[in-house]
Amino acid sequence: MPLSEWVGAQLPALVILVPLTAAPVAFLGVRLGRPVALVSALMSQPLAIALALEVAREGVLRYEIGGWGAPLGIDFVVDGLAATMILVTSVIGLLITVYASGYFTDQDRYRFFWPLWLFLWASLHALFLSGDAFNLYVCLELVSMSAVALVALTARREALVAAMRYMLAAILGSLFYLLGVALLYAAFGSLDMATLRGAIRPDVTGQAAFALMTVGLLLKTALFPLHFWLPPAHANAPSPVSAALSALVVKGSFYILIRLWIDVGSPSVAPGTAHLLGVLGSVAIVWGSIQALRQERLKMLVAYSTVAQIGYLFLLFPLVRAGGVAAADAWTGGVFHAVSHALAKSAMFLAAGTVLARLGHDRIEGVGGLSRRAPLTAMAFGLAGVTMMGLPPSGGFVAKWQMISASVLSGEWWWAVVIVAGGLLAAGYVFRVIGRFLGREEAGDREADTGRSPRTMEWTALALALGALVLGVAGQPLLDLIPIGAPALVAGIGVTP
Amino acid sequence: MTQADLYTVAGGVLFTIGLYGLITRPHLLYKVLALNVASGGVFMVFVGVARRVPGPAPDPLPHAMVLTGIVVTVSSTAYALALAKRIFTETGMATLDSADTMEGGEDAAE
Amino acid sequence: MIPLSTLPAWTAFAAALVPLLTAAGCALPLTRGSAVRLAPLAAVPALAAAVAVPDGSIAVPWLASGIEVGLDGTGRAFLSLVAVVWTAAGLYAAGSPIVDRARFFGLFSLAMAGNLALCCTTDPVGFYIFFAMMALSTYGLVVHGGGEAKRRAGRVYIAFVVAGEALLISGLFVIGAAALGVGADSILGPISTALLLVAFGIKMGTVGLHGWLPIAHPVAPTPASAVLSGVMLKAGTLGLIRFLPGGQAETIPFGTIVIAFGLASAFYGAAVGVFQTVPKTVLAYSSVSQLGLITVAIGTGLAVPDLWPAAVTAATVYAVHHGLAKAALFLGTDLAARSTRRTPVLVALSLPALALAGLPLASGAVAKIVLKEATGSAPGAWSAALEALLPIAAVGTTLLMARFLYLVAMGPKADRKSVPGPLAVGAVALLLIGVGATLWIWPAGEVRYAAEKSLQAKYLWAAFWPIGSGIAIASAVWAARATTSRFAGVIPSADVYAPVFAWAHGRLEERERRVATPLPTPATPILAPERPAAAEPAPSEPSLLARAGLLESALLNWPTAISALCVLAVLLLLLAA
Repeated sequence: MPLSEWVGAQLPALVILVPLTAAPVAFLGVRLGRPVALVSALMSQPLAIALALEVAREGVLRYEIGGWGAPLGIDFVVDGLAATMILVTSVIGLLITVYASGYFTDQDRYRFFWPLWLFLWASLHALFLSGDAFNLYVCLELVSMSAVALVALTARREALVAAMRYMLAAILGSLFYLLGVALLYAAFGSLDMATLRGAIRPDVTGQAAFALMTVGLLLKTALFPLHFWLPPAHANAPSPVSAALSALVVKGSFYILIRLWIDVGSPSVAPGTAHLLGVLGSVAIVWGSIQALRQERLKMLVAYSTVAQIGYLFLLFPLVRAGGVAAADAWTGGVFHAVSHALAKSAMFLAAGTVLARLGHDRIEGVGGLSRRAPLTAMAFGLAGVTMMGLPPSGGFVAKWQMISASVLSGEWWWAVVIVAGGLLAAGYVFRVIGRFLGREEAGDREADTGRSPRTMEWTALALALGALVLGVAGQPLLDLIPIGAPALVAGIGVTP
Repeated sequence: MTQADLYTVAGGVLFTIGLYGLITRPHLLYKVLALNVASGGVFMVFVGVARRVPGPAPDPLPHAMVLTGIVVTVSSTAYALALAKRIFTETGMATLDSADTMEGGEDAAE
Repeated sequence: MIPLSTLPAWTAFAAALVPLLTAAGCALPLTRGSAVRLAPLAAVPALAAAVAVPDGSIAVPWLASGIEVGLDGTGRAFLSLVAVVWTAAGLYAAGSPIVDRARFFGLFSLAMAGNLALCCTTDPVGFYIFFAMMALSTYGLVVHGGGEAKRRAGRVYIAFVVAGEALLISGLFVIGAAALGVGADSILGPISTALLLVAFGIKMGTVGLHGWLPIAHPVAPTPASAVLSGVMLKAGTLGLIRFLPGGQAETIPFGTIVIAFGLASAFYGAAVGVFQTVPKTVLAYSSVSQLGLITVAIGTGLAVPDLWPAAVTAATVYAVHHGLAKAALFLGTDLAARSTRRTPVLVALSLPALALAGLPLASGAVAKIVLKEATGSAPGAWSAALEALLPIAAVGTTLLMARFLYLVAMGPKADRKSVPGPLAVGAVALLLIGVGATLWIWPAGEVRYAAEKSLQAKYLWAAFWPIGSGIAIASAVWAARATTSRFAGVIPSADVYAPVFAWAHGRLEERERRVATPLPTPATPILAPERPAAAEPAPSEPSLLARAGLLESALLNWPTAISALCVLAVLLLLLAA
């Protein structure tokens, strides 16, 4: 078999194997981490792109590990959603890797960043490909463990305690999920998503399983009021890690949630549950934004913005219930929001990291005049803010447009009110920072500035922010990719432009 | 109530006890142990679930899953304990209040 | 392969987006120098397109989920105006001492691109995108240079902009929903019309929604104020023309309300403006007043659907006239302040000033006749009322302009170091030529007709008497200046909004001071919930944000959080069962 054909057939395995092999290699030597991570990051790009193209061309792919096949073997399933998430993870992962290579100057002290980051990357890819509820549990744990270790990387006491809170919450979340998995197996005798889709029926044990799994995943996704662990963990981690956590890791558990509820359990989505999730999402949008408004540290502000932006994802649950065009709009809109938020939020955290690297602090009142000294960083933050606010032309705008049109179509217009109000609140906290950036510098601000911001750092943040904008004007290919193999509830109906 | 049901119910009770300990005990060692108790409960539920097939032999799949779960729990417990110990050496306390996580300051990029 | 028939639309749109290149150029270190030099000319391709490219539009499905670009008569008129005014402002800026030029011209180009492109998009989504692009980059222009006053003005500006954007997008969504057949048209139509009227009313500074105009204009660098008042306000006019369901019976109920608001703006702007003490603030109020007249035209078109085309023509002609004149006045203010010999500048400025009041042979006289033609058939008593009130509005305009010229003449002595160069003088001259000539070379028949009409004795008299009375009153006020000067400045520059803004700024700045002082803030209770709270001076009345902070600390507390988790688990179990 020619090599290209073999690579084509093994694509789903390769996107995991590349970072997974690189991780232990990066562990072997202090000087090995950075180059190995960069090579792995670069290799991941063509693989992820090829996978997305393959799905766009051929439709849903199924890959049986070792050729065993479900129910006993482990299967990978690549549909439009999975391919999208892998593509986004790869692109953001590459930029974070480049940024980190300029960011971690003390190679010895931060040598463990590289293997942990590669492990995290591999587990995220595995999570997106898993087609089996128990396998998802294992991936979820792998993601959490590497993420917790990355938060603790600086070994500062605040970071250690934040990592501990994160870890306890993550383990508890996994336990709830695992308990749900046990009951799911008891009810339907299978954990393979595709098999479950056909087997699902109203059943008390099954419903309890869904509820328990949901609680665990809500905790891991940090939906209000379970966001207690997120701001300290995301704000105290080194900035490249914060970017990866806010952009990608919270999306991992959210990914499982929509797989469970909308992909597998669509006939059994209880209206009460869907509306409860929508209401909690709405409260998260408002509450997270209000908290962002009162933060004094830039990274805390950005972390609370994540709490708020996660809320939008949960509006998906009530909105898809309408079925038809509204459900299709909500589905693509929700996933598109996850993608554009991932790009914009990583840009914001990386920009905040540059501010920290230059000033040694990230107090918002001390960043006056930075737009003149570090224009690219200020611009990256501002452009990312455009997506946060959902203003055109940005991915955030397209996502909100889809979600608002879904809420208007389904007749549940109150979700649209929340979405618009959330944009206004986001404008509040984004302009608080931009106003400072553009404003006058206080005495001593300039002296505090070390001027250390390598191009690798400034440009990667800007590239991510621009990526979020590009999604707004040229997001059509992605909007076409997302619904491929979409669940029955939303499939079969073309996406309204 | 069959023996399998007893396992399942006991598992649920253990999970609740673990949850209770996790909420009420401030010391990190207790919190980690509470999580261990809770995961023990979850594994018991799996053991009970294995009885779902008719006949004398249980369903082997839940047992395989429990084994995987134990491996995961052992490693995460080890990591949690190491983290708790490090917090104790850094702060002289082993609670979640050992440091004000909302303050923070210098990042890794010195 | 792009079909040949779509070429005109593409050319116009591409020409409008040329400033994006200079914006990008200003951002990159390598190209910064040349981009700053080219930015003032970035609107020239768009002007050429407005003159040369034939009508036609085309859908662009891949851009932002589908927009439509191209030119029609209205778009062409606005595009020409916008391109001329941006070019003049750009040339003026090139000849002015502006700090941080790369940043200024970068934002300037970005706003320019938005403003030009919105004239070439004919669908709501595209219009909204470029409208937002223009309005948001202008924030950077308003605060350019930094400082407390600019920060405050920027805050006010952005608050109004974001509120307007929210209303606008809500309105466009309702239109979209109606197009998809959701809900009854009888309900959705009026809702969207109302939302659009308020959203664009904010941009046009309609009385009650005008709070940002007199605050933002004086602090912005002069070229930015010129484009702000000259053309960005007109984006609101264009939006109304494009997206209101003009010519349909459903708009009738809105007509009289809009006319009333327009008239109120026209008189309110003049009445408050004459008490101002800063020339640029007087001009901002004059814009409130003049856009009020445009609003009257639109209101007439809404009230009498048959008149909609005439109303659109009147609004367009008036917008072009006012845009050129007002931009000239703004640039002239700065020119006069910097010139060592002020008299020639004052003489030159009296041309656009009198044109606004309706001087025959200048653009204003023609615009006013077109306006009068349109409003002449307003419903019921409105026709007679407008007949009587419009000349009085012209008296008000004359007074405002007299006040403006007086303030410019009395301004502080010029600083020899910043004497304006040929570029700055040329920019103002360009606009003056526009004021004098535009409406005489306007292609549309009804405008040519009005222009000829304006020379008839009857109309000459109608144009002269308000100006004459205005000048007489102004002279009387000046003669009695011992008494009247006491009233200067009795109305604060933000008029009715002043207390609101003062309160809001006070709250925000108070908060910032509190944050800046190293007192422990209530964010700490994540520490040791069982430990007694450290003795800290409790603020007498915690602000709402501080209260939200306390509640959040409670939510972050570990036992509370895990208990909340358990409650949520039970709730989900119950909902599932």
